[in-house]
Amino acid sequence: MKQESNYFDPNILAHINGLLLRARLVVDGLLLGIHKSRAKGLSTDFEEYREYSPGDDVRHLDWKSYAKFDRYFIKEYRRTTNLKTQILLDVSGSMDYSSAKLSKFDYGCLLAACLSHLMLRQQDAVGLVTFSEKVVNVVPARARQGHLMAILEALEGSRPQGKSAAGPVLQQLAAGLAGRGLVVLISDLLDESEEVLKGIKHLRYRGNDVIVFHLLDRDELDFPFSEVTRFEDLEEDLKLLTDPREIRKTYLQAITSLIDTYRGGCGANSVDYVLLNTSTPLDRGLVSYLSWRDKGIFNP
Amino acid sequence: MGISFISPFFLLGLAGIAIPILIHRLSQKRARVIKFPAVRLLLASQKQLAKPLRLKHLLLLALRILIVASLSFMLARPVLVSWPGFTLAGESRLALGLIIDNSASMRYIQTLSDRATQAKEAALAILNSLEQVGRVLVIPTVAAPASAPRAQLLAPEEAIRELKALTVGFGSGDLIHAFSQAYQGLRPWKGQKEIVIVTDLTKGEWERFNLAQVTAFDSQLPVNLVRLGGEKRDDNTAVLSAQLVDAPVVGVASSVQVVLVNYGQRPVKGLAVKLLLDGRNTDQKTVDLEPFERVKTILEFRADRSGWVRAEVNITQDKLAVDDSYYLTLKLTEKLRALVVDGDPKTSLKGSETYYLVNALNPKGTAEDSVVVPRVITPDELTQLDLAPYPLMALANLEKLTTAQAERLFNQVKAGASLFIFLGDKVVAERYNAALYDGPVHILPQRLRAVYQGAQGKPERIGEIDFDHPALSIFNGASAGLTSARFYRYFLLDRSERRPGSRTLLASRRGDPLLVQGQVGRGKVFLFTSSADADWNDLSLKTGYLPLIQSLLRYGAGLQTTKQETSTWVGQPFEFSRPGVMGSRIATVTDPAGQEATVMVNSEEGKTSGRYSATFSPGLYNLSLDGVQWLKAVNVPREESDLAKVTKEELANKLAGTPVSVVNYRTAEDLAALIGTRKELWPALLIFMIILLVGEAIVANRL
Repeated sequence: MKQESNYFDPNILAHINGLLLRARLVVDGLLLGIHKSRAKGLSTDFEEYREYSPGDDVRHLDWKSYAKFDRYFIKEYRRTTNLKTQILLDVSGSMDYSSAKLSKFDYGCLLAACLSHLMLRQQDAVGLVTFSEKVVNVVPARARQGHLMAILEALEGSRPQGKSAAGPVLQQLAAGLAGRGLVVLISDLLDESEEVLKGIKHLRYRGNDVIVFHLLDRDELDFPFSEVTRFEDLEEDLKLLTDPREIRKTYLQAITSLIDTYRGGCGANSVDYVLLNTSTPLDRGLVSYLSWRDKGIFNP
Repeated sequence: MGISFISPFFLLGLAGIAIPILIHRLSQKRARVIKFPAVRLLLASQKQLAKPLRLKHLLLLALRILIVASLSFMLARPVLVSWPGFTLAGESRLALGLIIDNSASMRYIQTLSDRATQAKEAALAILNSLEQVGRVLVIPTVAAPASAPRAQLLAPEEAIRELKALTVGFGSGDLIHAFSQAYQGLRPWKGQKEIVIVTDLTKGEWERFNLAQVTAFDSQLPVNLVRLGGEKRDDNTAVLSAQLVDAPVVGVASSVQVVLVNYGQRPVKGLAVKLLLDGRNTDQKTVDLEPFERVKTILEFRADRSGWVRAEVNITQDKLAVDDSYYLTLKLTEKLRALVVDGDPKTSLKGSETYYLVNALNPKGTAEDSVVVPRVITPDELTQLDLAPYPLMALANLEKLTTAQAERLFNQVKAGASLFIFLGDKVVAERYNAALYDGPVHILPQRLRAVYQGAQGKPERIGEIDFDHPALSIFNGASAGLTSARFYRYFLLDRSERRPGSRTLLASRRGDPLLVQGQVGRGKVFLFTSSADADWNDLSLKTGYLPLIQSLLRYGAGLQTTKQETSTWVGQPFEFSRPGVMGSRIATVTDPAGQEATVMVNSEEGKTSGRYSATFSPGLYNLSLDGVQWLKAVNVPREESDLAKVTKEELANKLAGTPVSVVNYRTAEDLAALIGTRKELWPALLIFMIILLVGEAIVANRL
């Protein structure tokens, strides 16, 4: 059983405490927050002037315009709202691979916990969906500070197992998610790339801001094996006895091609694609991404 | 063509092929197992590979097996052999009777090494070609000292060891014995068998060879003859013999007669002949020899001490050095002191009774060059003079002898001295008979009777000469100097009675004894029935007088050359004997190399004798028995000196009825006809292995 403290490395928290994760698109929310809402209303963000029409609240009359034009104008402000974020965490068997201390699953949990903490700290609602070939667990999005514990419990209760079928699950979730919000997908995406992109597209179609955190282990990226090895798949009954030196080049081409496919597909759908090597400390990868998202500088 | 292996046990290394196979199997079974997320991607990658991994593994396995196999083959040193001859013929194992000619002629130096070394090289090449399959009898024609009767079938390695230990003899080989050993040794062998003989085919030993005398002869056995030195006669000069002309006496010039021979077809000019005494060059000459000519030459020496002297005659060394030296031993004696008692001294030297006798004893008149140093005394002096230093005594025309004088003479002669008694006009037969025959002193061999005087103008002449006597044998065929002498007067001897051991050496035509030898103890008495001077005969004026007197005194003093030690041939035993019974039963023999051996001696019938048979090398053997020293010369028999060769036809006749092949050996390649050609394959295998290693490294991505 992982301890709660395991999810919050003080280094990571120190780095992300000053950051915000803003929705890039307008989102629907119930409460006031930092994100742009579709509704106009109470806010400090000036939207537009419009002529007064009967029924308008006279408190919004702009008296300076009346003095200048001798006509009544209503000064309108864009309402800001809080964000509803769904973190989709892949808990399929393939996430259980680790070449170092942290497996992809551990890394994903850590990432999910950090993001939840971040979102809740900025008053956003955050929920967690874990999935493998189907949805395993759902923690609905809430903005309460105490909700973090619910998410952490869900994370702790998760075990990486089963096959992965991110594409169908994403499509299923896209259909089920209400309102526009932020969807954070944390997965190794070792799946049919077309299906996964289709799911992402579906989420986007429903107006969600989507961020894809593509987690890959260093071994998957570098393939450093040299001895004759029997590779056994973590999800399926696939085995391969081979000399890794033989197939390294071809494999690296294949994995690069997969990454490029996801990167291209996400870019085409205005989805942030973040490739994270699990051997890279999380604070470095996450902070770089958040800084970029906030300021347009991303240097993982 | 076929392949054989020099070190076949390395072929066991082929079992090492199992190692790459095992590694291959184990690497498949014990491959590291990794649970990996992207196996699907790996599978896709694998499918894209043009060269399937399994094929690569099989290729690697094949390469590694080939590397191990080629390494193993390379270490086993395979040899590509073609065998028109006997090597590995057929499937059956071969037994080889290998006869090595190690007679003295094999010491002939051809180019850089001697023929014996070349014979060993050829034999080694033959033995090496047998590999492990054959069995070999190694038979030297001159048996080695320690292993004379040995002839066992040996494995090639043992045979090679035996061959390497084989020494070259100094004597002549016994081919009949060697062939008999080969046939006998091979008889029990059931498989294929052949005889190989490596020889120079010199006539010396091959002329004596007769196949009919070979025991256990099998006409089916092929005889392979490896001939060294070709068919042409090799030039050689040799010292055939060397012997003393006279018994050597200290301080007197003596000579050695040397017989040299040129067995070559070219004349030899300026051949140096040296005489070495105790290692010191004493005399030297140069001699010219025409082809096949024998030349006698004389080398002189003058020794300055008595006793045994080591002598060696040698000539300029040629390619066969073993017969260029001839050893002989000399036993030098001190000069003989002769006491001449003149019974009729005169004031004139020439008129004295002993003038001719003294001249005959000391012909040159000087003390230096004379073997005998005569001293002339009067009868009176005979009473007082110590006779011990005089091994020779002569009484010339003594009127009488006192009893004391007679006894002293008798004792001296008994002890070994020689006494010459010349008669004459002063001699009274009765007194002589009384003093020297009838009394206790038995010096005269026969009693004297009256004086015979021939009719005037008809003197007697010598009619009988005992040529069998060692002192008179020199007159055999050249007795003119004696038979022409005229005897006018002489004493007749009583023929009815004579002392035991007396012998008539010279007699008149009438048969009257003129010179009679008697034996007294260890000494000799020579009774001359006529006078010593020219009063009663003119023998002293004849040419035969001097040699007669000299020969007699040498005989009397034991100075004949025939009494010098004669030479023995290498391999033959020599006997030694000495008068008297020795206390010790063991004699010590020191051979030329300085090795000592002991020999048992027998003391029988008043003499001690022994026999030594280990004369395996030429030189001088030193014998020591109870402090008495002998020297014995052992020489190489000269039958090996003539290097004429047996011709093809002669050889065919000698070995008629046997399948014979002849190979003329100069280099190892010449044996190809006999043992086939051999080519070592390891360099090719090494290159092949390097290629395999490079290939393996490439396939295994090491390069």
